Amino acid sequence: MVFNSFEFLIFFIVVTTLFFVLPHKFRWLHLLIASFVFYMAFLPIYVLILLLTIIVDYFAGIWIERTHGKRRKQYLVLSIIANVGFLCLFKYYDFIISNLNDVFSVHIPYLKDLWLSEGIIRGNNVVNNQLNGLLGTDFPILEKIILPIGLSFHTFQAMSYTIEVYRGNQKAERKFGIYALYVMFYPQLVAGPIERPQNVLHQFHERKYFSAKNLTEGIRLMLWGLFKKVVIADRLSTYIDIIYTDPGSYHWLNVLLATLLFGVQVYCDFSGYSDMAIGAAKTMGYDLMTNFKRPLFATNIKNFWERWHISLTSWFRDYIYIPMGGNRVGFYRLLLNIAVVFAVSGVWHGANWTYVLYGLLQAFYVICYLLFYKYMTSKGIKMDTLLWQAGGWLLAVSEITFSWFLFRAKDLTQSVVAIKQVFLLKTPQAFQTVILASDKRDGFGMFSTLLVIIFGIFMFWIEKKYQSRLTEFNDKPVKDIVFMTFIACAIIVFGAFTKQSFIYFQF
Amino acid sequence: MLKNYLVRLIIALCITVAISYGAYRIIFTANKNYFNAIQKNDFIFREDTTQYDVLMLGASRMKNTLNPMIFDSITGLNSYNAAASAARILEQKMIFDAYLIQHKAPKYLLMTLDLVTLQYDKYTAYYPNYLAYDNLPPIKEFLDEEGVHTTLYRYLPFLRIVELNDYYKATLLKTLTHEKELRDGDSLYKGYVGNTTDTITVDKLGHEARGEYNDATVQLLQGIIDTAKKHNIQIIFTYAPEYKDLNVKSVDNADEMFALYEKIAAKNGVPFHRHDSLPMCNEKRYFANNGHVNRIGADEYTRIYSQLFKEGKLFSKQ
Repeated sequence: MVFNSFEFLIFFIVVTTLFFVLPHKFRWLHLLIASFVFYMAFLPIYVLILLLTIIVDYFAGIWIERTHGKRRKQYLVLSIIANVGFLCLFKYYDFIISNLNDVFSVHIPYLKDLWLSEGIIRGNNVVNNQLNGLLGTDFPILEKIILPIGLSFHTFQAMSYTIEVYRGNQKAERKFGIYALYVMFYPQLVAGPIERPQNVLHQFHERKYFSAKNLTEGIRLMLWGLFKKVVIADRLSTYIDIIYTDPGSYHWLNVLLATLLFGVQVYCDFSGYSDMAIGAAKTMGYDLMTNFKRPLFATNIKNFWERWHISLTSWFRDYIYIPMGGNRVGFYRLLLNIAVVFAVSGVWHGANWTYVLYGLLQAFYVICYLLFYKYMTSKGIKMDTLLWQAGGWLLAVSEITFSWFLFRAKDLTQSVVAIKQVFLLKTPQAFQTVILASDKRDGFGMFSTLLVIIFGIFMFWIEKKYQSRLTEFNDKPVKDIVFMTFIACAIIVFGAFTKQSFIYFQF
Repeated sequence: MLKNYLVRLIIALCITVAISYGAYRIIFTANKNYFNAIQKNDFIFREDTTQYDVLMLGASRMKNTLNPMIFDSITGLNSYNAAASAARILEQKMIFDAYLIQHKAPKYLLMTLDLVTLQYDKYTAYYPNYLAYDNLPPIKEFLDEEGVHTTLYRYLPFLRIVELNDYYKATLLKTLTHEKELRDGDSLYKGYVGNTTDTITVDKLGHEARGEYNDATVQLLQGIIDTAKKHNIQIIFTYAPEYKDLNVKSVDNADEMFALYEKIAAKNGVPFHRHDSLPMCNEKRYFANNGHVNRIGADEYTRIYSQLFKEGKLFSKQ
């Protein structure tokens, strides 16, 4: 059940309405059930994996709080092993095994060859066949294991809980249902923001009253997120997907344009999802953390990473970077810390060498920036003039665009092909102003180009003018009505409802 | 009053619905004007008292191939070409069933079977064309199968816009310049669309393909046969002409597909004729590409076909 679907619209209306109809004491249960339904709409059987980690972390939190000394750490390690273990099994196992088999010429079995895998597939297919027969649903029948949706997100959110309990920053949650809700809260279950227990857990205990202001802020933000997703991101994906099917066969300018636009696509897709998640929570009075702060306006790469996927970068800062010493170490150790954090961040995205290199590349960028900044500061040169800002922005855009070659390509080979295509200015065919299907009834034509330009400019203008939560509209009723009407109409009339999933669902 | 948030939401919602409804009417009217009754066969879905003796069904290898003008002049019958480009069996059955709701049953059903007819495509390329006719049960079932929310659209019709991609939405701009999908010089007669007059220049195999089918799609074809029998409609299956079998040769399980069609035809007493070995199939001048005749080829083949039909030779099994 993706956010850009009618099914979700109905789900959201029903869940939110029932939330305020039900007495406070039943609301946590209602949200938990709704979150179960939401998660199981993707693949029912995987909820068992989620439940297993929830049970482990719930008890780990209580035991950490109750015990002292070495035992506390052991429970923390148990929790981390459980979470990271599932993550590694489903996400990284085949990647690691494939590399080991290649390097050492061995034959370690892949995930699909393991009895666990067969059990999961068989269990899934039995359950889904029954559900499909009974309810007329279309749950997938698996031939191989697929990554549980949102695994990377909810495991990190779960780990932040046990770590914060261990650090003494959070009291262990005694109500199992509330803790389960913390992990499974449907707006942010599958693609974040990766929340912290200090921010969210207490909210599930608080009585929430219906607030038209919250409802409006939430709906406004959801509309904005949906606008970015279906009007811009999914429209761009038509063009980008065609080029990246075979970048070696297109003009270098087409490949460059596709790569540049991919940055816009992934921003609109991911920040759109975050906005919808934050907005959906807000309608019920829950405040989730901001995940993006206009990163496309960042004037240097360091600033970019302070604004992009904030919930993930802050997680790495708080749970890897700072424990490694953070800023409190020597300059060169600091650079090493940064390299490690970004490398791990790259790996978080996926089991592919492209993501590893993507992460290392970000580390390289940030390290270069810090060295440059240190040098400039030592010379007393200020970099806050308009020229420096403009140059910094251009450099940041170039750096990020280059890294999209790695992020977007399906593997290292394809990314090398795409990079060569652009940097060697290859022209296997003329530059395609439009890319159409063979019957010309699909693809990215002049009309699509026009819409992307118009709505792209509108999107950048709004993001420049307003803060990420768009709360400035609260005091401007006429502008608020015009804004909401405009984007709602744009969604309905110009939305590209290609039933595309969100990019970050794959992580 | 506007400071009241609920009031803002209600006003925004009302204006959105109004504008979206207006946009829906404009875009769908533009679509109707632009597509000037070629691909979507909208005549089929409107109630009509015209009695057609012959209904032609298939994909583009029928749409651009059998010309009712020539067919009617030779056979003395009144035919209509209800084929739809790129239509697989699901869509063809939908067209046939919808036709029978709105029109009297024809006497004959002439159907081309291609090597990909029984492919089960969840996503039909031109399904937005059918959105305006979802009141007809076969079309509603077809659209529901495509994942279209027909029930929701019945109550909120303006939401049909979300089913259109940019190509369909862009027709609004095209109709401002009085452009239509059917270009000047194309011939359009009772559903038939004349292909280009270009010819093949080089002999080469087409893209490799594989004929796909499953129990569900075979059942759909059987469904057409059963419906035709129920209405006393005589069916003739053909495999349309192609250039030097280059199409057949590019499908690695062509023999399997032909055997399947022959088996289904024999089981139901339906004649199945392969016309990919006619003498005209060796002449480039009749073909726009390996699988499709050009306009000259269509006229030539229609003459051949019509003569065979008139002489009763198509009614006997091959």
